[in-house]
Amino acid sequence: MRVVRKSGRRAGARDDIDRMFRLVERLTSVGAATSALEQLSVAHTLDDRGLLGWPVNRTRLLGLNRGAGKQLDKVLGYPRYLGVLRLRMLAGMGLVAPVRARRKRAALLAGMVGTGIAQNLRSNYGLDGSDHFAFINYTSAMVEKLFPDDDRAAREFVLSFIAAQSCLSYFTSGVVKLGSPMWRSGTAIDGIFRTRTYGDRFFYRLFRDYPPLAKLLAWSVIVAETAFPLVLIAPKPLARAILLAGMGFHVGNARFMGLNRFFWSFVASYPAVAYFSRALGRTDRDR
Amino acid sequence: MISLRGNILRTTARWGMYGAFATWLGLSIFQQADRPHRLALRIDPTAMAIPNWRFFAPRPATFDYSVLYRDRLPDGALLPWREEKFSVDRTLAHTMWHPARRMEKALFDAASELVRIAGDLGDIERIQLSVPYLALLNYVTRQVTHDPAAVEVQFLLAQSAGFDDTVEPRLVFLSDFHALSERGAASSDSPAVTA
Repeated sequence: MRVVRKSGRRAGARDDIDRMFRLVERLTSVGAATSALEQLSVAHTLDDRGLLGWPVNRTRLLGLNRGAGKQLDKVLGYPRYLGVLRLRMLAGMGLVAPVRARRKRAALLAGMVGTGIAQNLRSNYGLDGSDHFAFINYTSAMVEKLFPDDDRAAREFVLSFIAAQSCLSYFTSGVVKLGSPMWRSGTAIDGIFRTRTYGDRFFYRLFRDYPPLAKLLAWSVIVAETAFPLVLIAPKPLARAILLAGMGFHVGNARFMGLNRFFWSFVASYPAVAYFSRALGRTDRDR
Repeated sequence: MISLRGNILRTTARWGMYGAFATWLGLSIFQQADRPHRLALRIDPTAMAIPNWRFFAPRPATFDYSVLYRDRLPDGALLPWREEKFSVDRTLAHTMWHPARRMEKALFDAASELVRIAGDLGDIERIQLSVPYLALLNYVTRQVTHDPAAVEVQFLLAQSAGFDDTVEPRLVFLSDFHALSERGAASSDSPAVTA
């Protein structure tokens, strides 16, 4: 990924910061719109009779049942909640489409933030890190639109927040694994891969029969995740390799661990990371 | 004058935003230590915006959960346990389109939460008021097929090692019996919890 900031850049909607945000918005939205459509295709799982039924799930927080929370029925009750998902799908598709106007994108982003909050309030069952990162990406992109085009400092600060969350997520995950005996020995790998929820039959057998391979993979994940923030200061070949490895990691997770939604939310943060990478982003550090 | 006011507003908005995002990042860093700050719990009790990024660490999930249920007839006879399948075998197409995935994860979340709460709660009766218990009961009462004569239902959670068939599935939670709508009697037995 190469992100070039030219010295003679122009301020305004179509500047380099805006291009990065458009990438963040579009990539995140491929996953979010697909996810909304997936939920609509199995809409019965959201009705009152199921695991995700609103009447039961609303009891998890007192605030959802008193005061203004009582009004949430109008949005989160079934089948009205399907309207929230339709809105999310349409707003997501709008952001995937080549919409350049910042006001239109701001409105679509507000839709994604609002429906993201609704989704989270309705139930936390079934949500995962991809939903959380999508919320971070959308909220940041929406706030960025509140600032004038020529306020580059403010808009860049918002972009840096996405980059910081991205680095924090990989670094945390790597460091906590480093402190875990299960990860250091590699037993975490065949333990995960033996499950049907997150595993894969072929790889489980492979790692069971060849434990050094499991250990190698475990250490590869530990090192790659912990070292991810180095993308900010690494020379160009290494910085590129880190981002490519990250993409490959998420493709593998999508195929073999069922973590398909993670690819879009997390890779969507890479343009922000690349922007602040010394080798990939800033070609004019003389500002 | 207007321009001065505009500048003040703009500067205030910018610094307000700096403060908000810096606080957000600071609370996120706290969250990674697995010790959420009080402010984070207050403003984001479900950790939507301030998530914990410790994926699969330090101890990853190495078990699957299964939900089984059985009916009780009016004469007290118990029908065999039946399993409600949530998961599907993964294919290449699931990389792009996987509608069943959220329910797989939802079951995993609810089951994990129920087992954890069961281990934490001193008063086991109270578990029947917990969200995962009610959510699972709601499901096995209202969204699965029952014998037409059944009056009560009971569910259990089993832990299995997935593709590792050398490990026997293990019962980790057994619910009370509960009435199936207006057909059944009130629940009678105490819940038995094994984890």
